[in-house]
Amino acid sequence: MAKWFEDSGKNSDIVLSTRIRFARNLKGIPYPKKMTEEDAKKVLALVEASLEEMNYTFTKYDMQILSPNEKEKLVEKRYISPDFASSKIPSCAYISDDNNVSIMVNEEDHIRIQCIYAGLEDKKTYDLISKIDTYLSEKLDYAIHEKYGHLTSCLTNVGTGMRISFMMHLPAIVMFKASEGIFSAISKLGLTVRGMYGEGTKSAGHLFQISNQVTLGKDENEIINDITNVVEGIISKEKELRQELLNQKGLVLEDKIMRSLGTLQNARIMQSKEMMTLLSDVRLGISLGLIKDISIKDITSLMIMASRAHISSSETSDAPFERDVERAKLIRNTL
Amino acid sequence: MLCSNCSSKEAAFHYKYIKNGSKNEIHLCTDCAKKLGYINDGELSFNPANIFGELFSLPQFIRHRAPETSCPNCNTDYNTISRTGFVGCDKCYDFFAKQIDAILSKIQPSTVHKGKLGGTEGKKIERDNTIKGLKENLQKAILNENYEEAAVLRDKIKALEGEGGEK
Repeated sequence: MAKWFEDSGKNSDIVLSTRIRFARNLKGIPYPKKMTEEDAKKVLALVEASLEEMNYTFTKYDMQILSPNEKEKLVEKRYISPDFASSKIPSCAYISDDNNVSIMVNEEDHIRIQCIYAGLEDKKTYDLISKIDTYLSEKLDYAIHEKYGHLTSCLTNVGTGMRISFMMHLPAIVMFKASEGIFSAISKLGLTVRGMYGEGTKSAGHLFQISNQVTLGKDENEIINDITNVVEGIISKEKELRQELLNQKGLVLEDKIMRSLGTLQNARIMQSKEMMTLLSDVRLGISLGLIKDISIKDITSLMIMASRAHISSSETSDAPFERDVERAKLIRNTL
Repeated sequence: MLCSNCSSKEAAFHYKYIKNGSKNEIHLCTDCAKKLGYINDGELSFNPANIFGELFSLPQFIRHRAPETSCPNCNTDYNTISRTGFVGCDKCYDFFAKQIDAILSKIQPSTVHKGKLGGTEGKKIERDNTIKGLKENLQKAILNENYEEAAVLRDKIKALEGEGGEK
């Protein structure tokens, strides 16, 4: 099956991905921040044994063996977190062969299950993660509490242990300067908005991550419905403003988009930040029907395949200039 | 009296506490009391991203009165939990039960879990909670003299309790 960034789903031109993660811990073993090396190995052995019996194939990535570049590639594909890549205790990621599931063992919690799909696919994503979680809950002794539900290392995850996040491309909302009002309204609803690279980062290429904060007191479906309603509202606002943009700016907008495409198709040196800005224009151009021979998934795929670790080879890993040349070459070959 | 946090507005919130045998007082204006999490402004405004920073910014003496001891299982102390939001193990949840409950009630809309648990123990808890809910509905049905519904509920409860007995 295609990887999330090489696939498309519902509303793919605005929603790049739907991701859900569950935080789970095993009873009686200190959490990763407090565990000994022996504890860590024990958790790994228990989880691995359960996964082996599962009717789903995973590939194991050992954080103590993997090279920094290989780890960074997994971060860029969003299969593991940046913190996990620098883990000091024995820890492994298990990534399903269909590329939709990744399980981090000994991250902030003993087990972090994550499912990801392209587009607005809350149901499909939840169904898959729920199936895997139910299976593991029968094999492993989860740390649960009569009142609080799933116990987690950080108090902000207690209860469902669930975080659902949507990565959205919102150029029209940004251009009309409507983002501030919308985002402050969102935060009042118990949701957070972040730049693409996580907390505190500025958005690159008009990309934003919207996720839930509430994990306790509402069940999974309530949390998902609440956030999906908001995301659908943002989608219709973005669509409305894109049309408005086309009506107001017409040729000027088309000129900007086609110039961005021209730069991507011809540049010989391309920095990552510039690429994100130009790809944002091209993505908008495809969505508005101004560019017809390039697909949305080519754009998402380029974002990942031309990012730092993916573009690095053993010769260019410490050479930013050579990397920028390689990036430009890959973009020219793709578009 | 002026607010002891911002020193600009009139204090409306007065908090007395005893530390090391001596009496102390803190006086805050409504805005600062809200900001520091002492009073709720009645709307959904919890923000887990800020709460730990805010707790941290409070002087030590007005955080939840912290037990001086550490979790016997993982040695995490309460100060660390309130400062970072991280516990060290499952036992912390029992050992610091009161304090953790207070933090959770600030950052979440409720402190009672709803949703899936899974596993043998989880299913038992899920079933017990369902039975509890059904019993409450049964009481309501009886009070409203809705005997038809009460009979249906009673059967459901019996069936669930039966399931529990077999396991």
